[in-house]
Amino acid sequence: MSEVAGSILVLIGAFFHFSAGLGMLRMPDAFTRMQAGTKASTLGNALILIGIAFYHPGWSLKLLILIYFVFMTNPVSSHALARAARAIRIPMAGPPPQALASAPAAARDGA
Amino acid sequence: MMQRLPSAIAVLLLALIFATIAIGHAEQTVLRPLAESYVRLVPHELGAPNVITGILLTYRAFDTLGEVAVLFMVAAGVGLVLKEPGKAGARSASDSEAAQPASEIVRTAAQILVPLIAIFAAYIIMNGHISAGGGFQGGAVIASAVLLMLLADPSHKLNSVFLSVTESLAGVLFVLVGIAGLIFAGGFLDNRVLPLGQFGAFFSAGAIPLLSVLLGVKVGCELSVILDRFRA
Amino acid sequence: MAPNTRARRSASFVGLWLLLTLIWFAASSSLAIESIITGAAIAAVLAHLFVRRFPAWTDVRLSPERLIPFFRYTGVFLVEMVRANLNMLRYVYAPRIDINPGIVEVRTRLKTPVGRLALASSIALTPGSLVVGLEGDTLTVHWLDVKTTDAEEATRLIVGPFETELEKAFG
Repeated sequence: MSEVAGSILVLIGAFFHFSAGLGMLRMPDAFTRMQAGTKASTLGNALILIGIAFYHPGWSLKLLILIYFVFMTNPVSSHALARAARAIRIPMAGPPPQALASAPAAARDGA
Repeated sequence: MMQRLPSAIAVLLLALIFATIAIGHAEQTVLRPLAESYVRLVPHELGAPNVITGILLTYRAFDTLGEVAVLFMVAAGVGLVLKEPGKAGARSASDSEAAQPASEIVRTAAQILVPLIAIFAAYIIMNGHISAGGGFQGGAVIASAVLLMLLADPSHKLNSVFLSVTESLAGVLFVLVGIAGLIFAGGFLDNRVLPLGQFGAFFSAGAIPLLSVLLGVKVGCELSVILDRFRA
Repeated sequence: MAPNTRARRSASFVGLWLLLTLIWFAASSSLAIESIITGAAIAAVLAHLFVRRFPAWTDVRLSPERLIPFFRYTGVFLVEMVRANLNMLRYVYAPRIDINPGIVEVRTRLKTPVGRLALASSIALTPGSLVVGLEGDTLTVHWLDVKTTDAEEATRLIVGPFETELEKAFG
């Protein structure tokens, strides 16, 4: 029974990791990709480790240390990356352009 | 769309290879004779539950000494190839626009994390004979703590004299324990110079914990010296 | 920065020593007396080595009255993190990416480095924000979906949930 619960948690964690990857693909610029990557993958890590704790209850203290370590280091590393990206002035995407919505209308009028 | 076709074909071929390997994989149910004999001998003769550490630090301990010597040669070679700053003039011009002091957040995080990493490395080293771990692994974790300190504070000076002296001392002690094995027990680096103790206890398996500690210290110092050379 | 007095340092030494021994015990998961003694000895050496050199440990006063706000902060943090990830899922799986990224500046009242680190980490793990810079008491935050460019309002939205708890926990 606990194995089923553990497996479900691991599966949900893997789904979060996949969403992190998908987010990194879809997001427009470096900063937004960092955001998608950090948040989803941290929670994915935590869920997978908790799922493993269901399988091996004897390891739960060690896994707790691991979860805590991941929570402490993931945000710090993404902050360092974002700060460096800002320092070398990577172009940042603005809000999605509004002109796209009216372009077909202009083409129809012009043509 | 046409640009993505070669990538799609490459992914498909990789998936095919992976599927062939995964389907054709048959799990071994019995150990090969050599492995079988090691699995039988290590807990029985050496008193260590971790077979790998037993092999590394007693049956094939001479190889381990050779590996440590190779690490030392790597450190010396890196020190020779990457000279001290004197040629730093060409680099600093291009770095000046990108170099900035490390963020306060990274510095604080490094200060909090380094003691925790250090105690975890000590745990890995000391538990080499009971569970997974050992000297090499713990030494690499110590080096990662040093790397974190260097990343957070690039101007931090590492005391390389202290590191070199510690590393050489650990190496000398390692060989001395080996020679003691020649005199007091079965051969060079035999672990039975110290009592075998109770199987699976913390202080057991003879000289293996001692050798693990010496190995961990030596590997940690060497990797830190290599990192220091790269930083300058 | 808090004065590096002897009393403060020995209090931090004890706190750090307990924390390190706890980690050793959790990692080895064994109650053997020799393991615990060795762990305590190594922890004492490391604590003595690091408490002098790293000011982050002397700045935060580890005392029992700070423990309850710390646990409450952990609870708030976990709730916010789960909410952030579900939010992020909504952004990622939408048919069209409708985000409005931008940079805002917010203010913080926290003084100790540990408190600011905890605040920055919490901001990084919560809905759509990432700390890009930290100068004095101004945080530069990259926001995934800028709702307002007014500094006060932004402070309330981004920093607000954490600041009260963190202030009590870390000062």
